Amino acid sequence: MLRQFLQNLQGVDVYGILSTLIFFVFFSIVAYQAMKIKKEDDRKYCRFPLDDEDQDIQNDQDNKKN
Amino acid sequence: MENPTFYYDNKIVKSFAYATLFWGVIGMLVGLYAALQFIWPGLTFNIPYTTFGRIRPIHTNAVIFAFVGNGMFTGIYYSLQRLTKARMFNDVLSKVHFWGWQLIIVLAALSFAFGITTGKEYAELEWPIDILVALIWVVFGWNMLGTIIKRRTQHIYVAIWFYIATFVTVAILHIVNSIAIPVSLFKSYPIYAGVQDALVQWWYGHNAVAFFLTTPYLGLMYYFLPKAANRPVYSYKLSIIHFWALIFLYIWAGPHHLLYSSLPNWAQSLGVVFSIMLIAPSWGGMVNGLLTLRGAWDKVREDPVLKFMVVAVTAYGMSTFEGPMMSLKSVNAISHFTDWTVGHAHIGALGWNGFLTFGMLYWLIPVLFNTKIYSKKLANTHFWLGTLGIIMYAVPLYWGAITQALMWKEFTPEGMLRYPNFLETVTQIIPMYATRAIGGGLYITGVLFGVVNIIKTVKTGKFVGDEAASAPALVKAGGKAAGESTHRWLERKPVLFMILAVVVILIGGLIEIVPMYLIRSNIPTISSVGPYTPLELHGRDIYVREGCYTCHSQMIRPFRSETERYGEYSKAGEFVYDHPFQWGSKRNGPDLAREGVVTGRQYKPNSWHYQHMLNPQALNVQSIMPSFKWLISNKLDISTTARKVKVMQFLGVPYPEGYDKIANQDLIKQATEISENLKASGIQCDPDKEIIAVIAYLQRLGTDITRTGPAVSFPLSSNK
Ligand code: HEC
Repeated sequence: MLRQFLQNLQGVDVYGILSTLIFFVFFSIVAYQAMKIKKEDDRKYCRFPLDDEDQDIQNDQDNKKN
Repeated sequence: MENPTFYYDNKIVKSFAYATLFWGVIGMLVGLYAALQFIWPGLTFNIPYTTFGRIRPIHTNAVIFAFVGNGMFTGIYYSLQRLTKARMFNDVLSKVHFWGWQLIIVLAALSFAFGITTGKEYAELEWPIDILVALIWVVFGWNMLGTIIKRRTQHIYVAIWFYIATFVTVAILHIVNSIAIPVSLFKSYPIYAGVQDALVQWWYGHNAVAFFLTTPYLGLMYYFLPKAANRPVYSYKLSIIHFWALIFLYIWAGPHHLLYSSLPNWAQSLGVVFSIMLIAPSWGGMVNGLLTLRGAWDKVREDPVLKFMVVAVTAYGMSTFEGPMMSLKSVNAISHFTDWTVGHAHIGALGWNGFLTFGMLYWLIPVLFNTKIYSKKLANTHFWLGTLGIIMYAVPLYWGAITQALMWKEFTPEGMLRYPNFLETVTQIIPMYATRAIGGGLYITGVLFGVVNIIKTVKTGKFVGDEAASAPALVKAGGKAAGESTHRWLERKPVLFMILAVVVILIGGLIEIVPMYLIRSNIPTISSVGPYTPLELHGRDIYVREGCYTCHSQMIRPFRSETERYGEYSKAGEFVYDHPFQWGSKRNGPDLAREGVVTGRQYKPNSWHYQHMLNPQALNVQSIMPSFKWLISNKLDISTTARKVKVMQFLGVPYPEGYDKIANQDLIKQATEISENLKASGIQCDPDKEIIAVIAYLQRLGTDITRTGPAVSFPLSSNK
């Protein structure tokens, strides 16, 4: 049944608009999530790849928090 | 309490690093060799293994999968262990991954030299090697996920998000695009045909760029750039947006490789729109990289590592701007099928991938060997030679491309093509090809300096195979903590993270490919289009084997300049029996889609094709097409005909029931006719030679839509 429906799918021309809409919904969710992050956290997480000591501390803190 | 000690595996990192350098040099040298053939076609020495059509896949695959592949594994194996504070999950898996990958590379190079290829760009490997690739890729993913799961850090850092996306997406792309039915151990036909094959192939091809050349290297950028500069990443928020928007958008952009082709318009438009939107996340990533260096620009002046990385990120920014521009239909009308694409690809490959690799290695090798770089001066020389090399490579190709495109399109006031002879437009840009080869030569010279420098560095240092580290064991965190953001929570759930990434990339893939496959109206059938005759089918397979598609397209776009030159523009319905499609992606020689149309401008008699394949320069002194003289002595292997017909039948090609058993009778009959026709022109050629099949194929090209009656029917005697 689904196959039949898809085979005769009408209005494939709305695909462009539909797809762009899907993207904007998705993008808004991601952007909202990103914006919710606190400034000091942002700064802290940015140091992740740097020195090992910091990381241990961060790890410890994270562990305690949870 | 003391933190427990564990050991990072540096040996595997070292192995991958050496392999990167080794294959980098080989892959680039093959590229240089190919470039020189555009100036001196005789450099092939008239043997099959060295012709452009065979070495081009060796070059592209070596650079992409051997050089960049090993480069990405070097970086991933190093950074993943540090970012998760854990040794790689399993040493045996690491070794199987390493040696398996090198084995694949060797098999790939050999098979391409022997003409074993599927004829789909960057997916040329035949099915047994494809299976091996899938297996080794799973080993890599297993090892990586295992490491992530037994990590000692709560959160997984942005670099690892990119590694995860790379793993899952490449696996999906590779499997979907490689599905084929074997004819023999070394030959298969893809299940898709024509337009569908083209769409799947470029969905793959484009996303190989995205998820093999881009996402893993963005991961490396997010780790090694902050490390080398000793600065935190500019913005974590930006990295979240960068990551998700990039993987979402990239997967849609494939159709921009098929603009103005027979692909339905709606799919082309989707490709364009998403390509343009891609600029945003790409540049977000570039900005995040470059701003990581804020306040550290004085270091950039001194440190060759940072110099390489800055140019790499800048090249990334350039090519991710250029790509969307080339996706605009009006620009694409000029750039497509020219060497512009080749220039664009090399800004990415030499600039982004190459320079990030060398930047990483100049930082990593001294760290692994507890020493300093042997010579900063030599590294700087490498940097400048490389930079100059990239410019001298790309600029002449842009110049040549625009020149050639304009020549293709120029009309006289009387409305005739100004340059009706295609070769004229090639001869015009030979000096550009020469400059390009010099550019490539400079780049390789730089790389060789780099190799010397690294060997010397290795000799002065002391390598520690198992590097001790300590970290507290991970206390498993439960659900979302109060005040914790959703994304932060997600970063503790690698498996969920991976599933989400798959969902995100599948959205684009499905919306594009599923309707293409199912909606009937996408590919209007043409009643006069029929299957290839058995002889033509063999000829086509030889066309694929020799890589003719690396220089010739079979896709006439609906422009007056093209219909005047080549004939009626290509229709989707003409390709329904083409497993694989052979539209090609560039025109170093003329389009061949209407080569066989007797009333067409391009038509040549059998004898011409014979002489041309034997020695193109004998017909056109300035031709840069290599000789394929072995086709004249090689005997056609007709033992596979039955199997080929059967596989085609299985794929839906309408040969009559039982035709496989009598196909060779038709083949011999058609071959004898061509042989006799040649004899009438004074050429002695037995019907059992490969050249006869190639001629049969070339003479069939584009003829079906000019047939007045119904499609060709089988057996051939039934057509009378
Ligand atoms: C290195 C690039 C290159 C490769 C590989 C190549 N060709 Fe060509 N081909 C050219 C160029 C350039 C021309 C135009 C000059 C000439 O006619 O020789 C040409 C012309 C032709 C023509 C004449 C087209 C016309 O109508 O004028 C045919 C037919 C042809 N090639 C077939 C093939 C086949 C079949 C193969 C594979 C076995 C092949 N070519 C491989 C570059 C190439």
